[in-house]
Amino acid sequence: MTEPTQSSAAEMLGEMRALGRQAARTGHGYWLPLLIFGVLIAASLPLYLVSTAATYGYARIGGPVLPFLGTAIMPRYSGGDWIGLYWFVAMQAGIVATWLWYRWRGSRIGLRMPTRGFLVTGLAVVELALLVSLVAPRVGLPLFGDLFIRDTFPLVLIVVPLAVLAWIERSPALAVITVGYAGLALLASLYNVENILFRLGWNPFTSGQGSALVGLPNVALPALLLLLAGAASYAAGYRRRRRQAR
Amino acid sequence: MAGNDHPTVGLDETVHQRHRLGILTITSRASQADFGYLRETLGLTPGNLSTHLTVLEEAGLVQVQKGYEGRRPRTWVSITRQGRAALAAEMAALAKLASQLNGDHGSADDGET
Repeated sequence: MTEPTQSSAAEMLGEMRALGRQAARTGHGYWLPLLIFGVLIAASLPLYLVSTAATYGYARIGGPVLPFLGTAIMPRYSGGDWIGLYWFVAMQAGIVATWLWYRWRGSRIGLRMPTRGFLVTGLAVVELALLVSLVAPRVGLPLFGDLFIRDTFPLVLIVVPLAVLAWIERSPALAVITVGYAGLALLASLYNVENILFRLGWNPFTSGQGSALVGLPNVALPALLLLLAGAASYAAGYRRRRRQAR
Repeated sequence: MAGNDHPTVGLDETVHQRHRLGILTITSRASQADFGYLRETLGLTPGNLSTHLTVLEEAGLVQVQKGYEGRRPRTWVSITRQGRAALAAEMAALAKLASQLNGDHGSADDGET
């Protein structure tokens, strides 16, 4: 073996780090999962409007312990909505769609990301939530009620698949988006976001549908964040590909 | 004494070749890399890439999986656990060697003042 010089070692180290970064950038495909989960949250809005209107705009204190499965499966906690069942199906659909997207994209670009862990972790989180929601009320397991009373806990659960994706993709940008989203999802579960908007001048009660719209910001803002982040990530990737093609 | 070993002692002859190290670096960032992707990214001919892959595969550092997608033949390359360890060791040895350069420059500067 020829003895490497120190400068050639530094050069090779730099070259390999650049190759690693290039491969990581090529593999980045998180813009679509962001849009998928953003759309799934946005699509749940009508359910939250009905739910909030039925309870006059106030969270159902003492309602579902874990509304992940909501009322369709646990009628004794019924508030007359389908939020739980929606999220049970939507979360799994979103996770499987994301996995299929990475499979398809990997074959197309010639670089497959290790997404099996994402699929397993994502589905395990959903099934665990199902198990806890069924077992907790029966055994009197104390859960942090404030996190669950607004039926928006599934939004917090979405943090898990996003965090796993950020790890798989080694993407600081997705990590930042996930942290921002986690903050918003927690806020939406612990606080009536409408209060903040009210102070900024938004008064849903002047629209005539007040009580129905009160719950809207709690769900709309996290959805908006993911949709905007997904669109911006796609645009950034598109610009980079255009620059490389020139 | 092990602590006084020259950094080149940590360099593995199989891994310390620019293209083979490139193959390991790329495959460490994905679960599988396509033969065509590796060839294009590393700027190698198919024959050259095949030779490097054979060396790495025989050393147990990568796994090569040949198959078809539809009617199109495809070859996927993945790094093994042993390959990851070899890559980490090589990068650490290179970093140590490169940092010595900075250290030597620092000493030279000190001497001039």
